[in-house]
Amino acid sequence: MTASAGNKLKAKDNNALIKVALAKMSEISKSADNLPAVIDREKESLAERTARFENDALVFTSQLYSAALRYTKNSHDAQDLVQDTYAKAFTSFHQFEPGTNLKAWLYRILTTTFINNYRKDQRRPLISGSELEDWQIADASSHTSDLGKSAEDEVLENIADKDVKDALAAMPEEFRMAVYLSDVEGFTYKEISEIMAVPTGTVMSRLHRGRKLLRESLAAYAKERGFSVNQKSGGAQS
Amino acid sequence: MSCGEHHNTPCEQVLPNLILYIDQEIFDNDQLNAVEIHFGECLPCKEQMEREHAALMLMRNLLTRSCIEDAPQSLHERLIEQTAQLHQQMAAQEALLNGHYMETTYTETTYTEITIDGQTQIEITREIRREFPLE
Repeated sequence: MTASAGNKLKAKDNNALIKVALAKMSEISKSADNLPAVIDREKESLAERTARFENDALVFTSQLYSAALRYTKNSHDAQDLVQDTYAKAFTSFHQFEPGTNLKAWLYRILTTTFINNYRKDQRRPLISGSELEDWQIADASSHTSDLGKSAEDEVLENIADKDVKDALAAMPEEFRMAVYLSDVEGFTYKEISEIMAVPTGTVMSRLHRGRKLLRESLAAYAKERGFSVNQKSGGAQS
Repeated sequence: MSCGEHHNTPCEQVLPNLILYIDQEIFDNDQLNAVEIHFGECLPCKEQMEREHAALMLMRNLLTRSCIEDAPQSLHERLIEQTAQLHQQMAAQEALLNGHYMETTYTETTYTEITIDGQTQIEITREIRREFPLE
């Protein structure tokens, strides 16, 4: 049946189906204690799978929306992206292996959908091959004493949320995604490599350079706002 | 540049991996032990690791504080509606695949016009078809 035919039928049948689904859901929740830890996807009915999707997957809506906002940079596209993501996730939910990382699975769909359908310039080439240059030696080959001083910490804490968002938005997409996935969502390098479909080495490169860019950019915002990194504590606010 | 002291694992081997240590991405136990032993012996490396760790934590806090937003209520509602619609479509597909045919109702209206001379017939047939999934 086509989607449009399905929609035409919707009005009449939806309520009945929702009632059935709700009844099944309450049955499932009543017997939750007796459920085996491993879900047998072969035996699981569609109604059971739908209930599992609503319980397990839809709880990530706000998190996915926050990420989608950083990807698309506007609320309208972000909402559409989340909706598309959940449509794809629902129709392939039978392929998701229960017990594995559902959040990472959803982020992978979100990220792939964004790259394929939402990127403003579809043909924009990915960052050149130079990103695989040695990420390790960039600024970590010797002892330094100018990083992460408490004075700088105080300065950065005064930065407005909007400046942080603007700084992120101004970053190249691949860096922005890597930093977001690691430093907001807490995904491991390996998870990010699966979500972005790139090798782990590329993740490290993007993350390292993205963090450096963001830090520089935040320091620039702080300077613009009149907070000085060189001022000692107490002098951080203008 | 090293700190000038002798260590079993030289600073030059530890420093490039500081960020891996901070991100908890060193999975080899021997390597992890070597780095931690080095921090015990070499204060400059340990302090640098702690500074970089603090700087990263600060940035993470800033990012999290700024970026975590609640999805609009309308989006939550659309997702519930969308899930119900997709569920219905999949249920219908599943029913067809399993050979549980739909109960089908046909409504037919036929309109026939015959001209006075009886030579021309116009026949209009309309068919409305409705399908309901079997419970």
